[in-house]
Amino acid sequence: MASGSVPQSISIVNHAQVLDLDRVYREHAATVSRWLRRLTGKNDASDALQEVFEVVQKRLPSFRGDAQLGTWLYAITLRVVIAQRRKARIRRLLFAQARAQFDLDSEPAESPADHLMRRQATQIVYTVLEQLRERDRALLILFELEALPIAEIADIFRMTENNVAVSLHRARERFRARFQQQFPEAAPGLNHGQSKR
Amino acid sequence: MAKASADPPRRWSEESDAGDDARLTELFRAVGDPEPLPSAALARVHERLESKRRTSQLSRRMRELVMAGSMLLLGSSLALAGWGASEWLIGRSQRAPQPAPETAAGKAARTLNGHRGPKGKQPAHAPPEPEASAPVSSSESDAPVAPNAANAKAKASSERHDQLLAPADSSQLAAEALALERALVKLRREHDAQGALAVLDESQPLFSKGSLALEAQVARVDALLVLGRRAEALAILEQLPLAQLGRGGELELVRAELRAVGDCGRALKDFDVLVTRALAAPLMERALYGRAACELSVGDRTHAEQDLKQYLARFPEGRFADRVRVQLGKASGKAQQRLVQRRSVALRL
Repeated sequence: MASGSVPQSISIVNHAQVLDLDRVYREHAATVSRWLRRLTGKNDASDALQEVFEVVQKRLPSFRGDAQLGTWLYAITLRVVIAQRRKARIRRLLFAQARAQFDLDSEPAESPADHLMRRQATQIVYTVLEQLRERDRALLILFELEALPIAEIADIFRMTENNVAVSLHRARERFRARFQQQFPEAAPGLNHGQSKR
Repeated sequence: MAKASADPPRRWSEESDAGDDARLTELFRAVGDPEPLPSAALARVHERLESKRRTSQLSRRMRELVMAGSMLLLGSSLALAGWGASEWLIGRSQRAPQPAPETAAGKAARTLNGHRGPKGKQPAHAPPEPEASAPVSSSESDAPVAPNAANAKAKASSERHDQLLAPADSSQLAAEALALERALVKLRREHDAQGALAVLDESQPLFSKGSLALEAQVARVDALLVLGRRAEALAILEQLPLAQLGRGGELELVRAELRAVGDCGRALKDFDVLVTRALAAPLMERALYGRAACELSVGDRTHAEQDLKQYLARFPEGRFADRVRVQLGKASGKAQQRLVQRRSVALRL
């Protein structure tokens, strides 16, 4: 599970220093790529990373430091992912492509069995998340998987903390309902991890 | 749906194992944390961003040039129109019959007729008479227009027009940029290095001291390298102030690699500088291997071995990795086989 907040190194920005793309990329590209993998559920995040930093390049001159750099980057990353997912959904509709596959790999586990269990749990979570609305999906990923504090999620979504809490309750309800419907007997890491759809 | 509360919920992964959502708790605890992209992939993305940035800068510059060109054209047209009108008026005043010296009687008659005189007989559709641009004294008003003054005015107007039509700095820059762009299109899009060189040769005499002369030289180096004319490329690179140019050390690396062909001692100094810089991974890979190769060729086996080991540690899947393993005597049969295969493919090509 993620550590709970954007790394301190990202949060603290010395605004006296000029932020240029190279510096932002050098310092934050690895973290953004990890977020991208988390948000997409896929290992290959290169194209999305490029897209995120193209947006950063465009908007960096107008970044006034009202938000923390990390929150700002997270918000951009999230929007890029949502836009890409919309495009992918349209492509799937237009060209009847296969449903999205999730191949997100985590850090090497202690044993092959643990590794398999992690993979199956990841598959189940992302399969259910895939059926939720974009906002619910993003909220759950940020809160449940990235373990971001509510205040930070509120900053990213430009919502009040109360609204985030209410939206989270609803998103969790929907997730629970879908999960119980699709995986009535599934326990993570066991052999029931196949989607019944 | 249950009524949503405004209190923040507890994360499933943090709930107790025996709670209502025990399965979800177990599930979310089991989901692993993704790793960031490997540094090679990050470097590739950075390179793509850089090249896109360069392209967009060039297109922005082109847009500015087009804008400047349009403004220049508009200004020239307006000046030309003004000049044409003044020429027409001057010509007309010269062609018009000069009034005969007036007699005292005629003057008196004109006074009696209320100054109308010949003006009253003007045809209805005649072009309106222009107003004099400068007040004319009473003595001059009676005298015919001096042809010399008209010629001087026309000449001044013509000179002004010539100045406006003369190629300004911006149009020079536009032409230079267009020539360079043509060369780059040939080189990068059409993969026609010979054609690119021809365009550069054609434009060099015109823009040898232009604002984009350095960029043109770099394009020439690229084209020469594609054609395998390394000595010529090196000769140009030796003359260029590489630190002022972009491409983050790439050109300096190319120069070091080219120098290494004939003078490894000199190239080693370049590589030493390069490996201490924050180069992109693919460039660092080349710099590290280049230094090791040069150290081997000058007989410095200790440092070469250190560099080769460092290379393998940083780029285990790098393009020179098989070769490095062979050099370090660590090559597996498979790696050696791959190397032999690559060599035979290269020979066939």
